Amino acid sequence: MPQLLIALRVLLPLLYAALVVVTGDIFFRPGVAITRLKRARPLVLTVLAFHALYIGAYTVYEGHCLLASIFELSSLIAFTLLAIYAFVEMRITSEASGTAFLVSAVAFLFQASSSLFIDSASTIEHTAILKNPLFNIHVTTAVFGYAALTLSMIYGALYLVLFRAMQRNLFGPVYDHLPSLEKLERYGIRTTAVGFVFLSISIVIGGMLMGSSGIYGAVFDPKIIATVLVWAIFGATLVIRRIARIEGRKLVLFWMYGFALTIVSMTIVNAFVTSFHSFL
Amino acid sequence: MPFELIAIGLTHRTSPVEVRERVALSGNEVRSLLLKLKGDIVREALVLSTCNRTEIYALPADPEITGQHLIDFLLKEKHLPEAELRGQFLNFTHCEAVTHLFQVIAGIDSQILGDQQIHAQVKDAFRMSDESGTNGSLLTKVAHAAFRVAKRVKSETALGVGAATISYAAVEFSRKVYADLRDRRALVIGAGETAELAAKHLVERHIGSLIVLNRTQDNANDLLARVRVDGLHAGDAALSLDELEHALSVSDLVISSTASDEIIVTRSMLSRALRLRESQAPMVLLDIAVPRDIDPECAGLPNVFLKDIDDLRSIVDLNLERRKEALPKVHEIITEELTNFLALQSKLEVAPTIKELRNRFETIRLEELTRNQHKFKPEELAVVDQMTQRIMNRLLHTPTVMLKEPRASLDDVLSRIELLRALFALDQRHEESE
Repeated sequence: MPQLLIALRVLLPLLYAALVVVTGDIFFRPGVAITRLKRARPLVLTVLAFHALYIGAYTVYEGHCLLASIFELSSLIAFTLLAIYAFVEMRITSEASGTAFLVSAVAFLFQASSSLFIDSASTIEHTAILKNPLFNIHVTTAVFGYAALTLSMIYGALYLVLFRAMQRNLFGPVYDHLPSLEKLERYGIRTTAVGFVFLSISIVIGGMLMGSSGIYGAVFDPKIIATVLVWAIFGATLVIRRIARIEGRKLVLFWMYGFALTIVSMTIVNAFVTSFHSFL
Repeated sequence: MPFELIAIGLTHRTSPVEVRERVALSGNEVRSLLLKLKGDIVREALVLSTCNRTEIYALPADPEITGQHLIDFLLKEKHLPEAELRGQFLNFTHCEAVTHLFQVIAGIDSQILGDQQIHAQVKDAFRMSDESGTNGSLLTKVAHAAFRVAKRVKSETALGVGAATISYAAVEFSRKVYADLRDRRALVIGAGETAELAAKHLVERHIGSLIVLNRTQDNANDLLARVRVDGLHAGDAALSLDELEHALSVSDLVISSTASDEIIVTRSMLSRALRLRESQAPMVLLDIAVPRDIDPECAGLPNVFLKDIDDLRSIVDLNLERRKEALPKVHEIITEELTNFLALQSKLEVAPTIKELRNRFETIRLEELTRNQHKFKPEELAVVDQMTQRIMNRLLHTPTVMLKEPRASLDDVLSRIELLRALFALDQRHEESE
């Protein structure tokens, strides 16, 4: 088993690097991006399959998922980013946004750092909780939720960049390579919906874990508050879109400001507050 | 059979529109011309007639028939003065004819560089030739090679990427805002030529519903009927200028092209319309009129994209510049495909000659063996047989390789074949045997 894990640890950054090269070519070469993106699809699925194998093998060998250190989490984040991207965008190849390059570049950085430093990183001591399946689901779904947050921020940022380029008559690569504003908004909404579902599951399971361990005071843990805030922004974005019928730039600005605020507050929380969530 | 494709025709490069429209052929005329050409004049023919070109690609029935004969035939059919127009025709043979077709289908010979419609037009011409029975093995090979050129140019270069006309750039800009025009309502202000072209592009892009608004409502009605050839869609309407504010409030995309000297859409009017609008998606206003129809101050309103003709021209210029940058790659593809085509054609041309040459040598060898067989014991005869076979193979190796190796042009291949046939009197031998 360790040989398999080591082999996959070497192979995965290489696969992600190949994906960066292929999707970079799609993004930067003029014209016919859709045709070439279809050709990149098998590679995306291959990377996801090998990564899923790695996560499975690691979980079986270590008795817990990739969540005991920051570099284990990095690998999980790389996987979730690509998985959500594939779910949101690649199944509809005719609507590809060309963001595959950005997503694979970010995922490559996460996986490369994980593969390089996973052995040297210090892991948390709570070995008992790490082997708790509910805890594993709780953290994994939270990671999926935050990966969705990252993706929706990428889509939101691209929306605003394209909007600005079109207003200022900058008909360069941004105008050429990005899809329509409406598509970017749609992808953002899809990732928001995915994030909302995962964070809802994570929060519910977190509540169950808290109940079973009896540490009700943790409700006021700043990281829980921040996560609930992100969840609320996900939810509010979906609600105001449907009920208040807000769309377009206003909606994108709403979710971008909301998430930016959350990220700033979480950074502050991470820097100054230590609690039982500190390993996250 | 030697390959002697001829291509004649006149195009936007050789003739003004006044001449092109006189020579142009309708679908029925093309069919009738093909039937008349078939037999005595050509063995195979393909006629391509578009607004920018009328061309005939043909394999003559007789080596005496030249491009000039085809030009005269076409002009006679159209009852046009031969002496006056003859000089305006292109006249290509062999490789030049094939290269020309490749350039045409690639879109680099079109009036708008990288035109995509020509591919479908060549396909139609090929289909008509097939239906008329003037499509033979040579034209099929040439046409398939041409389709391959078009496919490669489309997938490997940026030649057809981006809008190359103002009205198309206007529609493409709106597609950068909306994912699918099927869900959108467009308002076209004006009923002139440019407005009609823009409306046609919108219909081609499957616009959900279309409002045409004009000072004279009847003209708006006529335009709508002309562009919605398959019948009106729900929400389509032809309105008069009095209903402009209401039309603005229900539209996502506005294209304006009137001859008005004054501003038609003012900032205050648009502001009121935006407040009444149900959708909060960005509104696109494309002003392709000179002088402008939409107040430039409207660009300052939130969630509004306003582009005038200069903005759209900058998109077109940029795209045409990119298309020009793709030209070297397109020429590379054409050269590659031409080489492949010639290599295939060369093989077909040289194979019978090589076979005849080998047969000729083998016949001589067997004749000599038979004549001298009484001089050898059976085991010696077997050795001589093997030896002469080896000598023959070694002698034939070099000319065979020379014939098979790829040449720069088919003419070169043909001249080598002729030389070889003359040296070894292959034709004479063939005639003798006949």
